Amino acid sequence: MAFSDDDGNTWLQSQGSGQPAGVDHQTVGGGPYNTSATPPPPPHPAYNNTVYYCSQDIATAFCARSDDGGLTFGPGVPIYNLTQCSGIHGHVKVATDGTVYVPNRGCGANQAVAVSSDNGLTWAVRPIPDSTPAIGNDPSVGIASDGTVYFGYQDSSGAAKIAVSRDEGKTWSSSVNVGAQASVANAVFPAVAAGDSQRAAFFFIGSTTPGNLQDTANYKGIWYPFMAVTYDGGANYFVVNTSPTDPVQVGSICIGGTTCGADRNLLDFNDLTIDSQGRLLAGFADGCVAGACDASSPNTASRSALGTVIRQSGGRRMFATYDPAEPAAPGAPEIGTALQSSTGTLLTWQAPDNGGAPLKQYLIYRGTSSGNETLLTKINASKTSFLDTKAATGTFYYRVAAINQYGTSKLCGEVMTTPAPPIPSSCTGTGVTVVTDPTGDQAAAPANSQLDIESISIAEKFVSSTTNRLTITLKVANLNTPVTPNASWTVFFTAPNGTEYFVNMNSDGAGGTPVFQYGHTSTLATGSTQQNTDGTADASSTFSSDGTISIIIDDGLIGGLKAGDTIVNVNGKTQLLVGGDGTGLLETIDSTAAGRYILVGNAFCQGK
Amino acid sequence: MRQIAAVLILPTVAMAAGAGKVPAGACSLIPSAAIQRAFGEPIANAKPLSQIAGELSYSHCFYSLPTFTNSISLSLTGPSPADADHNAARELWQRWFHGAANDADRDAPGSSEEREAAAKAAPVPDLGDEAFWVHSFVGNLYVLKGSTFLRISIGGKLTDAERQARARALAVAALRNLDRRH
Repeated sequence: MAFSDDDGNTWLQSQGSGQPAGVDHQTVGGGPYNTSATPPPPPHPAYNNTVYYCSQDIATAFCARSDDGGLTFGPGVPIYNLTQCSGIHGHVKVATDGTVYVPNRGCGANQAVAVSSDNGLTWAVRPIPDSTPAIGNDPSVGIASDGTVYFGYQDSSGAAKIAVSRDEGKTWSSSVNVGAQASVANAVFPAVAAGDSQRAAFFFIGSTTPGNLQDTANYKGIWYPFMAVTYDGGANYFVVNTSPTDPVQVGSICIGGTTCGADRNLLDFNDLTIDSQGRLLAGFADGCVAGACDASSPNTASRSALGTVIRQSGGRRMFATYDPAEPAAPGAPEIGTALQSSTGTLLTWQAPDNGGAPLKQYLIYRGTSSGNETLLTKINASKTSFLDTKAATGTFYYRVAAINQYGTSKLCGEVMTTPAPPIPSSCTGTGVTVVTDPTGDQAAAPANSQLDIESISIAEKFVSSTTNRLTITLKVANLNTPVTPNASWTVFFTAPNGTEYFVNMNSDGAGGTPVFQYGHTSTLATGSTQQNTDGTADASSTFSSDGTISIIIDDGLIGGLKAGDTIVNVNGKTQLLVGGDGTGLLETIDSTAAGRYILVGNAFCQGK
Repeated sequence: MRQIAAVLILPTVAMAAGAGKVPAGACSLIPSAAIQRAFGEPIANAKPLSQIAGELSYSHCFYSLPTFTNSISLSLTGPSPADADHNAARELWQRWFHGAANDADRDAPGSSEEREAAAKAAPVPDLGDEAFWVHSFVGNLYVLKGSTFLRISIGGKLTDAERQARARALAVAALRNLDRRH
């Protein structure tokens, strides 16, 4: 662990464990000391606040306290006795009076919170009496400025519930099913934050589809990020779908730990926090990445894990002093880019706070010198981009304002035209780069560099009028001789027929000489995914020592693809057989996010 | 808003243990001299907590030292009066360090992660009946002795080997006192 005292500019290494830690669910939280505790906290001249590190430890869990901002920690104190709760827990948080809370999803017949009132020296478990153990997700607590504790959780039916305590968890209100207000039947990954007295928010990923959310084969729910907010201490909650046009996941979500299949792309320990002006920010993994997935996509298109933050853009805040006066004119749209090409200039911007009333229009201003823009046009507020076809050449400056029924926003930023980057061609080189992946992120790096994926590209070079095939290029760091034996380099994608196909190079055959294959995947009754090899890829498939693997495959062998088709969830994975051929396990060394590709057809590339 | 009474477990002084069935209070197990030898400073405060959970008795002590990061967490788990055959703590030990006791445990949510953690426990030879060092952000030493086991945690900016050596020295002192009480 490292920590920063200057907003991340520099970092100091904490004491560390000296060995690779075998623990899970590590969490760090901080806050004031309880100065009335027995024994009183020691002098702490360097830091006014304490920092807690909590983690799983065998079947129990422990928290350790730091008095020097996280540089060193004291011993790990068990936070429940050895049979009270299971070892998996949520995030540690500290109240303004120094009371420390760690929630747990399964303490006997209930969920509970471990509480320390003596600066982490001893702990007590305080259950939420009407709760039931979660299906598999950690609960979360938020603590308001007056010490009110909000406990948000997934119950045994999958419902999103929240309970409130005003006496450090000794007694609790009845739990409220906040998801029910939005017809949410299943919820995962709860995260709670609280601000001023009476104000709290509960973030979760929810679906209106009932049933077993972990049934990989049969669950068809569509998942969205929901926020439930209270301004009256939990008496009433307002629930909104924060991303109604862009789901997080389609189909099942694994919450069963390391034994799951391909739907373990979304992991737990999401978080919800509040910025200095009371806006909510939720962090989560997005499995359905815009451009490659939507609500109508097959489950297999929804297996990304893109780190994502949702930020509150309007409405009341968690700190009342920053509440905007509403209804009012919209906030100013933050301008993005003005990319110029032969078709014109494409202007983009961010949708602003709507001021409490729906946006009606955007005003586009344009000028030939900075600061001298005049109104060019008005467009419907459903779009956040505008193609200025009269600006294919020359230098222009743009600004954007928003309108609702209460007025016109201010302006935020000015942007000058810049040349658009060249459009990648499917007809030359390795074609269109569909996915990029960081260098050096493979398991056990810097070892396994031959299995370190850098990119996936797809090309459709012209061969003959009757040849329709893809050249799929997987670039790894290198493939110097000898090529790693018992390894595979695979690209997966989903065709319009809903089937997930793959092409790969593998070196697990006799002598370790790489071979090129293709096939499709299927889901077993256990929920895990099986790769079924259907045949050998085109004989012209190759690899080179610079790490370029080119696998050529006829379109007819992978779902009868044709020009205009879109293949989605294009992603790569490298694996290594550990323990010897026939006896070991496949260990994933590197994997990528997902992209998509629209076929142009080989004929399109004739002469290009 | 309806208020529901929650079960509250209050800290209590754990000096009443004894009689062979309930472990001695953890705060009386490590002599101040042993701590002085290991850390070079005396105990400033010893805060106890004891609980009975079915067939298990649990006693914890937080030994505060003047340098807070030198402080020690010691917990002692043994049979409660409800454990007729005095085997509950030993069975728990077996489940943690030698695999799940039954198939139901194996299917419990999250148990796969818990087994991952158990896999990181390193055997410590010649200490009690059996002992394990669990690698983590702080050092945790588990020692089984008869029908009880203890857990000692040490923090501070030490190497893993230094933490283990100090924890071992404290465990030896604690086991010596534990033997005298039986």
